[in-house]
Amino acid sequence: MNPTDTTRRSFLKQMAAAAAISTVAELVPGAAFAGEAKEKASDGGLHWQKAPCRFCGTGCGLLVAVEHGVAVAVKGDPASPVNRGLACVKGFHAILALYGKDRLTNALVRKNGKLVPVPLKEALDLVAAKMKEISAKYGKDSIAMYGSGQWTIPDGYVASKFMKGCLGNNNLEGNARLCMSSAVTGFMTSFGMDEPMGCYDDFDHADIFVTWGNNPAEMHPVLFSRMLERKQNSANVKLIDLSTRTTRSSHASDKHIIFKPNTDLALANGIAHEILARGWQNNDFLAKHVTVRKGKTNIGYGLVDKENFKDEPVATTLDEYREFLKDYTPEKVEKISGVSAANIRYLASLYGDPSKRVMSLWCMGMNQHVRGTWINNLVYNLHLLTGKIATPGNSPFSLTGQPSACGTVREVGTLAHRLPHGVVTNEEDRKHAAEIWQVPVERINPKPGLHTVEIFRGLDRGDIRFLWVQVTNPMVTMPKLKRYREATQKEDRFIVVSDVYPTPTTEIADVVLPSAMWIEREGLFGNSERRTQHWNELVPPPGDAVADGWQLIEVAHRLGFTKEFPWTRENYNEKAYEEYCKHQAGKKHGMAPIADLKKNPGLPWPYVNGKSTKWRYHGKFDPAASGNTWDFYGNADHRANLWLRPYEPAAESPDKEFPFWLCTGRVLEHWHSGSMTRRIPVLHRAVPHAYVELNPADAKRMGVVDGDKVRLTTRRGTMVFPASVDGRGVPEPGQVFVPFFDEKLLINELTLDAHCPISKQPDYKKCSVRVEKA
Amino acid sequence: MRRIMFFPLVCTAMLAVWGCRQEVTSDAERTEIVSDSSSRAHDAEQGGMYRDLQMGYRKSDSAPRMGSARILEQIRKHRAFDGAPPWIPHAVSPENERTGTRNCLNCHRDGGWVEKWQRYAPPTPHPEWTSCRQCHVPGDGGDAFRPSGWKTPAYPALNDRSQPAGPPAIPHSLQYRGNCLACHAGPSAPVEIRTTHPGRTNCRQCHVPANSDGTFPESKL
Amino acid sequence: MPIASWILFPTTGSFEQMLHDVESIEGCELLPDSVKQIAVLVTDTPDARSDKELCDRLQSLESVAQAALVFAHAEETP
Repeated sequence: MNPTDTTRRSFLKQMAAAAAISTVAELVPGAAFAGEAKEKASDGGLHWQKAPCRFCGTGCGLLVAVEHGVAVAVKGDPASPVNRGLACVKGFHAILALYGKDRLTNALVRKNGKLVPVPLKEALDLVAAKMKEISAKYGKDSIAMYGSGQWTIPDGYVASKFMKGCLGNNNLEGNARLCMSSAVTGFMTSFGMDEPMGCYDDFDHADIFVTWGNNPAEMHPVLFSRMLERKQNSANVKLIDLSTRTTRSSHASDKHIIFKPNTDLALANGIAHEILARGWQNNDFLAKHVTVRKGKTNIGYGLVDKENFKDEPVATTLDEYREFLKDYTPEKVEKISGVSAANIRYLASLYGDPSKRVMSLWCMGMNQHVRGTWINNLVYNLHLLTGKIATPGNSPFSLTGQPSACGTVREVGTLAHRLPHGVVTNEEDRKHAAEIWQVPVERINPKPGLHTVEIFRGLDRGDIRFLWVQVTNPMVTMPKLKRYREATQKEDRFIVVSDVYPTPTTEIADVVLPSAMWIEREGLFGNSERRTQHWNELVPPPGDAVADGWQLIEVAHRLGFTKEFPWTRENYNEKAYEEYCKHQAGKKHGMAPIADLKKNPGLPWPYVNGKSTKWRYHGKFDPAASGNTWDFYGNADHRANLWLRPYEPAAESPDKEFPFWLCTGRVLEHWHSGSMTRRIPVLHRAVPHAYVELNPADAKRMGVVDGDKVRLTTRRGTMVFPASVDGRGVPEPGQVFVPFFDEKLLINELTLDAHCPISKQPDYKKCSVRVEKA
Repeated sequence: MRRIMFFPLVCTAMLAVWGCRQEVTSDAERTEIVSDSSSRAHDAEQGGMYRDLQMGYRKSDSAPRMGSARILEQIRKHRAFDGAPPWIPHAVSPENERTGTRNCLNCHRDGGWVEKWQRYAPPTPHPEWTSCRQCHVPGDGGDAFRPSGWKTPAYPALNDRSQPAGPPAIPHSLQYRGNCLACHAGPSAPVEIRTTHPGRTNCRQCHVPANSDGTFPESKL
Repeated sequence: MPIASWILFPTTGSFEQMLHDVESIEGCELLPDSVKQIAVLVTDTPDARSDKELCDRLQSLESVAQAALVFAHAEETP
């Protein structure tokens, strides 16, 4: 066969495949056939390359087309098992986020109160010099670094090695502390290992979807569409929405159940009570795979500086659990939560029906919660009581908000107590890390550093003098913002901010470093289902902008850590990732090698012998599990923990002076603090500013109509918002809701920094507020 | 039962012959755009049921009166780039704002005359996706937050033919746009891209994608 | 040198089996979609006789509920 003939045959075969694929596309909507995005032979076509979406934790695979160094189009990657070609409006416009006219392209240094452009080298010299100077003057623990789940895996890894392995400083935190740390402590206390046991395949198997304080129609739209797709294709599938506010998800659900703020704790216990009362529990599963535990109660709200709560778990029995649940009969729970006893029994009948596969989903509603760890535990309890866990469609699923909250902050461990594998307090874990880092083990500090709220409180008190913020915007997202913004302006504080656009956080910076964003650099993210995704640099970064991780390495080099970072700007992503993989080696958390990641639209860990593990803790699916059934190997006794956790009220409940609940959150069009999505004209036009949602009855009583000005006052401050009375969300009477993305209408001026004492994650969903017509 | 079936598969969309009457617009802006119709000339030569419209909206009693037809330039104003989901060019009801799904498909599932807007609604090529506001958002919120440097790239040329009489290739991705007749036939179809032969429903018998669009599983073969 | 493409529908529950069965036939290349339980098959055979044999074999497979031909091309070998 001559070469021309081979080409022709290959062409004919491609034609044949294309014809069949386009026919299938009509027959079976949503069908997708794996195939790598490749450069086309024909001229004039676009050249598509893969990258995971820059925004939420769903981790949609996108395809980006680049022409002459500029991204010109973006669409969902049909080969990605996450989104199968779909995206949401943010993903479908993700490339526009690169092209705001006010991109930071120069380093800026504050001189005489004004930020002035300087060469990048000069700014990096200054940062290194200040770190040295402040460390000498105030001690090494006066230095802190604050990143986020938007850090790529290599960048988070560099930060961890730099802070913990080089500087011996554990004051390293990620914005995931405000977002996912209750999920982490929930997983750790129940299963001894972080991250969900299931995967997105569960969406194709579950019969019942229960969303707990979650609005996936807006926050995880692609996953929500997968639920709707499942419902369309299967007659008995039901969506049940449990929430404090009526949302788009509520409207699309088969049943919408409203509970009073913070009473999800009672509701979960009430469902458990009913399951046991009816004998719907899985006794065999409980006997073989579950340990019952209880911890401290009345644990406070972390409102006092330096408060450091430590739980003391003790083993107990199923009998004691039954006794404990006597306070949570459906009738008693109805009084606490406002959910009718009939509805509690109905929910129990869904969880308790052995023929139904149940997926529970949650995100910020359960995590930004003064008892965040507890409510995570309590929802796991329902799955443990019924044995509905770690098998296809039976899945308690904690969703993430940031693209690499799992991949970077939780897996690499950019948290004050964590190492890339394990925790700083464990000697074995320190040895493991020191060996790979090739640093003396004594250099790693065995004492956990300050958690996020404490870092900012420390800045106020003077314990923290140098803070480097990367890929996040705390001057929009911190609760009780006024205290922490003023803290940054105190004398002898030095703030470095790496970002892509001017934000309220760059406004308080002494040095601003311009960052390369998303596809302007190579990177890796890890999504909610443990899927690691790699992308290449697709377009050049503007001006002096450079990847956040490389900024850290440049400064590390200046401080003498050249041996620890023997990498170049071109290869550091791969080198750092390869080194990171050594920390996680093994069947329980093995990471896919970078060569495999380049060829695939992401691969979930544990990655064992060239294969991803879809369901952990079950011998049928997980090579790390022993036996043919469940093996919760994260815990020493190979059992999952069922927890006795009571209902306790919120830190601040409505009273005479502040009679409303204030809840904050996101909207579909804007992501996080809005610094990227607001620069995408389509998204900004759709939701141009923040607002306060009122219940129509409250609005009527106050004489407020849509668009009127409404004054909100909490113990932290007072602000005026336009009212939304007939908008997309409807709070219950006596409650209001405000989205937090708007830097001009900063609701976090009013929120409270009360947090879960175990996870240290603030509760942005509950404080009391006075509402008046302005 | 096992059997071998031979396709041509008939496209899923049914085409009704639209007997509706469309008004010719008197709107100055639209008249101006309509007169700039060089790209449509070629299709117009082919004849067909929309010939009169394609020739330039002859405003005469004998021409079909079919409302204000859409043209490409207008619909391109509602997209950030070719392939981006169009934003919603009209106000949405509070009910739609609350639910994110409701009402859209009333008009956009099959298209048809909408009294309120005095025009034909374009049917969606993907009615199976019902969480509409996931991708389509209102576009009426005023000025930019910060100036954007985004420039909409040029759209691919129409009438990409390998030979003068050959069928034009499909210049766009088929993802979520695989139902040809939704956009290429009926009174809401932009006149430049209306098919002259809507009765021949097996479109891809003659029209093939101009490029493999990145989804082509070349690597597997 | 016939080249053809097919859409394969498995009998209930035998999607994996179908892939396995078809993969072992020479001249068959599969593009499966495991979620929708459907596969595209491209066949490439040296002559008309082997193409016929392949068709027969496809039809004889228990795991294949239906094989729908979409595209076929045959030309004389030069």
